[in-house]
Amino acid sequence: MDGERGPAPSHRLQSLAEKFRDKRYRDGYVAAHTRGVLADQMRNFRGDLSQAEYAAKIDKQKTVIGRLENPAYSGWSLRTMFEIARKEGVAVFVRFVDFPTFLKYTGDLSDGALRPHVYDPETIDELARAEREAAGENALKAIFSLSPKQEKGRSAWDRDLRPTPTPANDVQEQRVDTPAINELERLAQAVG
Amino acid sequence: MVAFRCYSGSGSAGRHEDAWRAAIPAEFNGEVDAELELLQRHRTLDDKRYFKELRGRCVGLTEIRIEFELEPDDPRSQSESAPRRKGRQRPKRPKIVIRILGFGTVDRFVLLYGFRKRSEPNYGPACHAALNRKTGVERDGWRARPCTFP
Repeated sequence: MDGERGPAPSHRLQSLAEKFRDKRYRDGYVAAHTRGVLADQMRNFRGDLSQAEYAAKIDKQKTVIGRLENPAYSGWSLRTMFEIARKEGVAVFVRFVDFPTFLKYTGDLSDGALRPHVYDPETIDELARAEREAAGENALKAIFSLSPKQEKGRSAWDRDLRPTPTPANDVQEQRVDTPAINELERLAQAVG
Repeated sequence: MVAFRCYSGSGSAGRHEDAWRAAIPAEFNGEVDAELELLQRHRTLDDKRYFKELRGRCVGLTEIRIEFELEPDDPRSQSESAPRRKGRQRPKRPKIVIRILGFGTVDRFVLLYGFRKRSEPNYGPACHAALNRKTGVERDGWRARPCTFP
């Protein structure tokens, strides 16, 4: 049995693309997958605590914990989800989606994907920083990928980056000085 | 994580990849595949919610337990008789119980015989079939091939 582990994502997609043609199959799969993942996440939240200890911790009945950890349970309410999420310091993400989107977001069943981290402002700051940097790089690429036709008339600076002129900031345009623009100019000089 | 092998019959009779699930109604394949995918990629055989070692005439086998209820608007519930409740309460949803008999270690499992469990209290015929298959697999490992879900 060596070398047998979870299937590659492409195998999963290929297999489900065929099987999802059957409505009963895809409806059953979506429901069972969702119930199963929620049950496993509830079990993960409990960790080494007994059901009774965990119930006391989050102010619920023990029988409720048993029910929420049961993959057959389909009586989840949004109210319960929000309550558990508040107590565990995590977020809830629920929406109706098309099937390709469902498949895309449910392919990762690793521990990392099913054990959300407790709220940490630094991780969000890091995300924001990374997005800012990516936006800066994209803007820079746009500047250097302009075709001569595009450059005619309006520059990338004019089109994408220049602050919208208003009577007030038009007058003070020479003194526009934001960290993002400074960073862009620094990058442009480095590349150019 | 659990690495699965699926019983696929003897070579002389021609292999049938889904031989282990022949007694499970095909209309429940979506639920069965989703559960086995989660078992395969996320769980281990020591989780008592999903696995149970059998005793008595079934000793030597472990069962995978898959259970779910059908919603009232599910076309499959038309052919099921939902248990009645007293008074004016809504009828209970029909409960579907699937059992897959097999054997293995904490992270490896051979699926031998799956079936839909109704009201019968003992697994006699299912265990008999599964134990026969287990003997066959132990003699010839190729009777159970690596399989993945879905």
